[in-house]
Amino acid sequence: MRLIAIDLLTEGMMVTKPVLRDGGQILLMPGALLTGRMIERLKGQGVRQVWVEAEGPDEGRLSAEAAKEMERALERRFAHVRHDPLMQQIQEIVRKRIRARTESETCR
Amino acid sequence: MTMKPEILRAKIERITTLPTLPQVVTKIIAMVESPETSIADVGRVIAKDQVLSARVLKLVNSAFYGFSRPVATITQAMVLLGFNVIKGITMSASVFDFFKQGEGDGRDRKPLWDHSIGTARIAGVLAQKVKLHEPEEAVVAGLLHDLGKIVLCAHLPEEFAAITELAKKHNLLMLDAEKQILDTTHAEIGRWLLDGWKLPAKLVEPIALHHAPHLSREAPLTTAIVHLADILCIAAGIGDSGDAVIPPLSHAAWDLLGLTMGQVDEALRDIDEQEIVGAFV
Repeated sequence: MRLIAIDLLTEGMMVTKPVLRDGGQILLMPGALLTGRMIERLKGQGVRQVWVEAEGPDEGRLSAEAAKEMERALERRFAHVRHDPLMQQIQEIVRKRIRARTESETCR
Repeated sequence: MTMKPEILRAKIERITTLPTLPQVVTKIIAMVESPETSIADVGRVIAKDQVLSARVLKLVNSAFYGFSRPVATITQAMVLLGFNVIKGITMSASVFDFFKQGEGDGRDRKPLWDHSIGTARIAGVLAQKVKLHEPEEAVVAGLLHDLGKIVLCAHLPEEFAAITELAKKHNLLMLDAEKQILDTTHAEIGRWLLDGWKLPAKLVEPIALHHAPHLSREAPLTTAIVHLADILCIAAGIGDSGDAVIPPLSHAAWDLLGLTMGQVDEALRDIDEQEIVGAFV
């Protein structure tokens, strides 16, 4: 589930949380599939963002290069707390999360 | 920096009176302090201000709180969130204004904003994991924890730029760069403001002491949550707090929370699953 700014919404996205107008009136219920007209109407009502279903499985994937850069940045940020085992564990959690999002180089 | 210390101090003292809160917010804060005020009384004052009520409802229904049903009225919002959170939300509205005003002025505030939102969301998830009595307070404190930086950026832009540059150049925490240039910190500046707004210690401490959580007396658990959420947000690379390195973890705060690393991993996963894309709440 993602919260998407109104300008980035596209047709066919499925709404996952009620969309409200200022004042609390419900405009769309979960399950609604967005159409171009609906998006325009939401804009007209002053809605700025909508929760929608996440897209395909590839979203949030990192290229091997981008992942390497993120890992290097992580290393730099944690360099001065190497003596702290708790901070090392936190670093490891984040490192694993980066690796899990990385496309294997043989895939593409 | 070549500015004389006395001039600098005068400048900082002047910013403690800014930004001012809108009249209606000041009125609500005074009302909430009185034991004779009922939820309905405050609800009526908020409801009279259309802009404020729209904002409160928008925030209550936003990603921060994640109630499964939409909250449609101010009274309902107040019952769900309590007085202190309503106070926090009205203040948050002022912070949002600051970020909006900053759009297009050449100083990019979005990274700091993303860091504030990220910290608020992680704090909310952690608060649920440690079963904090009022998890919404952790969310509001997370959102406002870098209020001092926001004030610096808005009112002392040259000094703020120098601090950010110094932190990057010498691999420092913003806190240490601030001490070198201003002889004070964003946490301290946040405290001046919040004290001036007459907020209760349980909301002030998580913001003023997020780098020294062991000093909290009134809200040790919420302060520990905001402290850890800030660190996790920087670790995960969400937004940019300006820090070139990660703030050290207080082991006292960690012990107090009693979390496992597995739960920390879960918290970061929860945040990922509800990703906010291009949104400026």
